[in-house]
Amino acid sequence: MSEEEDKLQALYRQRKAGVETPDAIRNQLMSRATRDGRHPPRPWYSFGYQLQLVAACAMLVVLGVLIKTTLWQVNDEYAADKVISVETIDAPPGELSDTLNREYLQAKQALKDKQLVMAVHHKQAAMLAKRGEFWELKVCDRPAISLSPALLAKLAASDSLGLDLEAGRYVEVAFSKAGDIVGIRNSDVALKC
Amino acid sequence: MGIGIALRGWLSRSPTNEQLMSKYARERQRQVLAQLYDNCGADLYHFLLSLSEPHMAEDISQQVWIKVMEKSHLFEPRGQFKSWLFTIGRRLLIDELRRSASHQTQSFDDSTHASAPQHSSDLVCFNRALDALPFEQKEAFCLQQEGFSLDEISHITHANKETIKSRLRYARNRLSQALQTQLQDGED
Repeated sequence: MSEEEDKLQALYRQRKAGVETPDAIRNQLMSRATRDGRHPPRPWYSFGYQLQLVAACAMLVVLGVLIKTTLWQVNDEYAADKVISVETIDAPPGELSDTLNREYLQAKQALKDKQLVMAVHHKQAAMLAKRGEFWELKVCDRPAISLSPALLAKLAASDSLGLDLEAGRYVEVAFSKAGDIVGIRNSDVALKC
Repeated sequence: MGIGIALRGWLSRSPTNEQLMSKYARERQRQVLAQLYDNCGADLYHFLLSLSEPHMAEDISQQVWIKVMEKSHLFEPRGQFKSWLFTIGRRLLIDELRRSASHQTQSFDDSTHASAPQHSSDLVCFNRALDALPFEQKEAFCLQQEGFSLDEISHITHANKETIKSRLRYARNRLSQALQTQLQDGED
């Protein structure tokens, strides 16, 4: 070490020797250490920590068992569903496809037929009249048409009967292409023959 | 570093700071902490005082020792205790300085030593020159004077060795120059 560095070191030591460290730092540190000493932190191997560790492990095990049991039950339900599903699609895929196609075509044709039956082909003005127990419709160019209670019930069920059953009331009668009555509604237009 | 510390422990009868710290971490004995403070407390305070002002140095010292108590389990027995202590101290000081945004340092000529005996003109000049050094140079110089190696200073200040060498060279040159100037003025 050079003479210059020796001198700097000596001066630094002189400077340091002249500095007095405040007693407050030590005093406060010691009083805090005394407080901490009364309640030292428990080491990891203490009985308390071991007890907490055992309790935590036990809770984890219980939790694991609960989760496993729940999952097992859910799996059982799924398993039952699987059995049903296997029985349902027991037929070979080709056959199943044919069956489905045939059923679909039948349902489609039935719907078309129904639409055709229910489609309004033409309408005609008429007047309600009562003959004995039955109601009938008087039209101009043909004999009176009797309305059976079954027909009235059917029209009412399909929301196609919009009238008050009252003798002498003018109505509008809707016919299908086949000539069947598919609806009767009140009308303000008088029957003029 | 670990072997050096172990050898020091075998050769000296009194326990090393590292042994004391390990013992304190295990047993939390007040007297062990007191012994550690007596060994390093003044060094730390002086270091902090050189880089700040008395009130802040006292406050930071207090915080450092509280950290030592709280974080004693984090101390690596293979490392050097004083280096760990100064690392904590420096970090807390930098944080505080950033908060207060003032890097003002205490002048050693006047208020600090108002009651001290008259200093030699060399010491007064040295104190002034040291106070006038930039923060990084002063920090490196003080750490070297506290007995830390280049590696340790580099570790404490998070700067590479070459930077530390450069800072030390500048610091020594400035201090020597100041003393030289003062000597010439005295002769004139």
